[in-house]
Amino acid sequence: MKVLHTPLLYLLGLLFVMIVLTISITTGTVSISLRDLLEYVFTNQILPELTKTILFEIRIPKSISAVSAGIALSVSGYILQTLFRNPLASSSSLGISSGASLGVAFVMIGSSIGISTFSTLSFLHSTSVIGAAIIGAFITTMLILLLSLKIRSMTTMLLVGFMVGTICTAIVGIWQYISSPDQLQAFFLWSMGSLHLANLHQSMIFLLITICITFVIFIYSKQITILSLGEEFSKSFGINVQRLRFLLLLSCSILAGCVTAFCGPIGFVGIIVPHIVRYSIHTSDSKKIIPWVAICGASFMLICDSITSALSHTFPLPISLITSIIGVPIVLWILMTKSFYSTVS
Amino acid sequence: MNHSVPNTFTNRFIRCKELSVGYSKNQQIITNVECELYQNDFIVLLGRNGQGKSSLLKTLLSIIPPLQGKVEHNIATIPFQKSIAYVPSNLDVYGFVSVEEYIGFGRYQHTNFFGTLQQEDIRAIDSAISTIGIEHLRTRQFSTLSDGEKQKCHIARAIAQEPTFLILDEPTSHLDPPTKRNIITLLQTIANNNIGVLLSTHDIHSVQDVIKSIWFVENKTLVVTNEGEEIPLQLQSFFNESGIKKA
Repeated sequence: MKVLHTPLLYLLGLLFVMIVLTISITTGTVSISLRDLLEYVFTNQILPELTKTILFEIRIPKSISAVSAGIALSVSGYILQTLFRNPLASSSSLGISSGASLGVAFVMIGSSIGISTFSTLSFLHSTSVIGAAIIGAFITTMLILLLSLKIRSMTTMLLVGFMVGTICTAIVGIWQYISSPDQLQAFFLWSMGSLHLANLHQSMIFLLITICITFVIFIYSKQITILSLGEEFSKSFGINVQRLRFLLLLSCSILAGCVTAFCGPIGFVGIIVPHIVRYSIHTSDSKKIIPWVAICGASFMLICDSITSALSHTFPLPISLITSIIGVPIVLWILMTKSFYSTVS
Repeated sequence: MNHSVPNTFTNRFIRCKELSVGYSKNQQIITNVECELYQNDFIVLLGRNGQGKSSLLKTLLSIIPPLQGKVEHNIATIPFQKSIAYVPSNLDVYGFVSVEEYIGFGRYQHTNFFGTLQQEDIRAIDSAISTIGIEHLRTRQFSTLSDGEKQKCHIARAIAQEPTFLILDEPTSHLDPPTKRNIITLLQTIANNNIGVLLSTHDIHSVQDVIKSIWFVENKTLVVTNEGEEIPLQLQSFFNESGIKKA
């Protein structure tokens, strides 16, 4: 593949993000025409009340969530893969989404009122779920960071994350075993992930946190590039590997925690997008890769979201189903055609 | 060894004092290390497998913290690692890295906050590439190279760093015999240009003609033999077992 000059690549990428963002906002059960949208933005034309409600309470929060989740998952996936030197690492391999799930499960037990099928959906939208997920993710993050201070090897770290995730999943499993079918359904729906959990305010907060953390990571891109040579070798460059690792783990944990809190446990995007990125931009330079990862992540999520909206007529399909169905063939194609593993090893 | 140098020139050194190398207190690999490495030294580190040669090198580089004692140096650059280039014995790179980019990593210490390569960095990279003679590998992807080619890239990367000290862990283990000779000769030239070279190797046959000072590790001790000094008994038997006659 011809490798484009990076600034041009970014420009085209951003343009593409704008296009898919528009598509994502305009498609859905009630379609909003592009002309109305443009007129509203540029001439401040008054929209019908219903359209306005749909726009500001459903579509825009959803699209902002999609952009944020796409960036957060892809960037943390890329960083963790570099850190662990393992193409299978993603934010879910730190066990943070499992920790968040545990938090949500606890809240669901705690709510003494039995959740009926009718209130299931409203329960999913409540702030208590987001709060519970944040607390769950925070406790797991602290546990993992505490353990990371004691651990020398990154492979051990990967195992520790997996272990923490497994124990959380097991506790959730016990709870699921004893809970009522309604609770089970509510939890199941949450665990499939959705871009409709956050309202406008929450999605803005999500976007803000994501951009800030991505920027912090970007500042360390020079060290991150060297880190791809391994920790021991990075130390010979005078890099404080312990501190860098802690900082990156903390950043990725916050990103993973936010995604789980605002969108539920969707994690697979973090594996798909970095693969697409490595195929499309041939460099090891993190300062070039990180912006491209963010652009690709946002576009990928928006595309998946548009497809979800176009397919479903009543209530949108869970986003994580579509990301897997779209993403897996792409990654398989890259793996099969481009003898990709020679670039990973 | 003669360390007399012009007055205008500060002779840099790395010095070990009562150093204990190892990973935990009750598992010390080498104890009571007393040694020093000066600019323009050419030192070969010898020893049997598992005696702790690599660990000693890593301790010198502060990759492993010393268990006891300390590593002193009078290097002026900050961080001091800027002046020490390290060639590890095996190194795999994760992700897509071209040879040119990899050698550019040697400029890490010299570039700005975002690692943008300037004119002089590019010049250093080019000259390192031509010194090692790997122009044909330039655009190749690092992970597709053979072990020997990777080793050449490691050495080129270390040279591109323009260090004061060059520490190499078995730099010739995967090289073909002619290249081995070339690299050893090159390292000697480098040492003559006021760069302290310390290399560990099992390949005594290639270095026996150029050998001057030897650091020899056995039974948890480091024996330093300088040029012109008598070869200690344990080193003599090491040579005899290796089939080498050395006066």
